[in-house]
Formats: sequence, C-alpha cells, structure tokens
Amino acid sequence: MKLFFAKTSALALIVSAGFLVNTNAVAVDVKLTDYLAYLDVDHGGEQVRIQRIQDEDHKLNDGFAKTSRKCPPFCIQPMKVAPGVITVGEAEIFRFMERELATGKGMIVDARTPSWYKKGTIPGSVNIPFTEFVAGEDSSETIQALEQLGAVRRDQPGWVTSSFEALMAKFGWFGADQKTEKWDFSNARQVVFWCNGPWCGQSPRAIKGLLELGFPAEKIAYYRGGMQMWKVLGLTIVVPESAEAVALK
Amino acid sequence: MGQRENIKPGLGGVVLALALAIASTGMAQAADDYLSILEAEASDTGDSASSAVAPEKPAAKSEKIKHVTPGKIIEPGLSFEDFEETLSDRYSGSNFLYVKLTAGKRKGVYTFYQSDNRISSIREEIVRLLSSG
Repeated sequence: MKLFFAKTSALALIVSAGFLVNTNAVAVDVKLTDYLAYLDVDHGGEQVRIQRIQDEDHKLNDGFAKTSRKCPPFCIQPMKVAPGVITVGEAEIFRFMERELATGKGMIVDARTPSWYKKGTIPGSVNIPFTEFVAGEDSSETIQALEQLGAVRRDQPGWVTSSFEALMAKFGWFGADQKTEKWDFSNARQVVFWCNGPWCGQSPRAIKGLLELGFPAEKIAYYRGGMQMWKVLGLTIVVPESAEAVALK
Repeated sequence: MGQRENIKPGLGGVVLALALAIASTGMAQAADDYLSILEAEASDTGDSASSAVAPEKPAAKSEKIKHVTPGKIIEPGLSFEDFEETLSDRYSGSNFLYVKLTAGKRKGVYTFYQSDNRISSIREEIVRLLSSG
C-alpha cells in the first residue's frame, strides 16, 4: 500500500510538474522567434522583459499606424545605408542583445531627437540624437557622443606616425584602419542604430555623420525597421518618465 | 589696365564669399527646418497607447535629456550662457556655424540677439560674422 501511494504520489508530482511545464509553454503563444519566448535586457540598471503582445486581435492605433508621411523629408530609406554597414532585423537585434549588449561590447542607439525618445524606446537603447553626430568633430556634443561609443581621443600624431599609419591602414595592419588623427576606434563598441522606421532619416544621418568622423563601418549596424516594425510586431517598449524630459546638464 | 586686372580677382573673391555665405545660410536653415518638421511630426504622432509598455525607473539627475522646441524666435532676455545653450539645444544647424566664431564675435551675436531675437536674423548675423573673417 505504502509503495502504491508512493508510486501514485510520485506519478501525481510528475504529472503536476508536467502540467505546470506545459502551462508555461502554452502561455506564450506569440513568441519572439522559434527558439525564444522572451528576452530580459538591462535598461538603465533595471531588467526589462521583451516579449510580444499576446492578444492576436490587437492592432496599432497610434501615430505608427499611419501609412503615409510627406516625402521629403520622411522618405523610404534604402536597405543599404552606407558601404560596409550591415542592415539588421529583429532576430539579429535579439541575438545582439543576448551577446554583445549583455557583455558590454555592444550598444543599441536610439538616434531620434528627445521628443521622439520620450514617447518610448526599445529596451536596452541609449538615446544619442543624430544631431550629436553632425555637430562638427570638435563640438562638445560630438566628442561626448564618440566617447560614449568607446572611442578614445588621441594626441595629434606627428607626420611620421601619420604616414606610417596611412600605409598600414591600406592593409589593415596593426589596427591602423581603426584610427584617425584625432580618434582611436580600436576599442569602440559594436553599435546598432535605429530610429522611427523605414521612413525615418534620423539614424541614417547619424550613421553617415559617424562614418565621416572615421568610425569603422564594420562596427555599425542599421536596424532599418526601427520603432515602426518594433511596434507592428507588438514588442515591448520603455517609456521614459515624462516629467524628466527637460533640458538637464 | 592695371586697375581692371586688380578688380577681377577682387570681384571673384567677393562673389565666392557671397556664394559661401548663401550656401552656409541655406544649409543651416535646412538643418533647422528638418528639426522643426521632426518635432511637428512627433507632436502629431501622440503617445504609445497601443504598445506593450514596460515601466522605467525615473531618470537619474545626471542623465542628459534634451527637450527640443521648434520656433522662429529665441526667447528674449536670456543670459549669454542661456542663449548659447538654447542655440545648441534647438538650432543645431545655426550652432554648427556659431561655434566657429571667435569669442568676441559670439558676444557680437549675443548683442545682436538682444535687439532682434528672430532665429532667421540671428542666423544671417552668424553667417555675416563668419564671412567677414
């Protein structure tokens, strides 16, 4: 009898556990990818869970439901924003979050102006408006932005060093192609830029400005889908406190 | 004859300077116009009512968040420091040229602003001072 109950109890426990496991598995019908139900990322020191809206009848009803905006300036952007810069989608963003972002080797940059940022941003993103990459290489904003990306300012090298580096850069030797006269990008992070979506020019402007400053193209990725696709897929966003959206220095 | 030869290079220089001034003004205005359109569209877009929103902790005081307000004038009565901050925060196109001025000429722009606070006029004054060398 004891053995019977023991077996029965054990069986009940296994069934219950199985039921619980199955319940959890069934609870997330709308996963991120075929292998990922949700993803936890760090956003400003807090853990945020990225998942999709589970209501299969849900529809967008805010400004991102619009189909058309005047072009210019809200023109459809090409898939290839600049030579050497790859274009990524959501699945690539998730992998980036799990790897480069989690280890600090990567950054995700919301390149929109603050009035867009405060409406909501992709978890894990840092807001660096595109204007900071086109303000001029000696401006304090651009310097600060580059340093946020992990670039290091250099003392002006002499002409011998410059000539040597220029020669080495042609072959990609000694990391010379990762440096300019003013900046060393050797340890700069991998950066994914995004803005409002395929109709938004803010992150392309940031990327082009960054390339003009000498930032290596292979360290830049362009999430063309932006907030438009993020919302269309029902993915989690983070809304900054509106009360804090004032000029602070 | 000698006078005519001297006039031509001088005239060419003036034309070039004028073209650069017009181009610079145009570029600065284009940048400001783009920002204005962006802000207008942001206002039109509304809040994220139909999205899955995760709560965020209040921003730390050290976090730099800029609030950009479009406008055709800069508020009157600003101090020199506030004037420069406003130019930097709201009119990046004009600020791009402004920062190239010497300290003395920047003060000149500020003096100009005190009599005419329209951004279009301030922009022209910046370009004028930049072109004067």
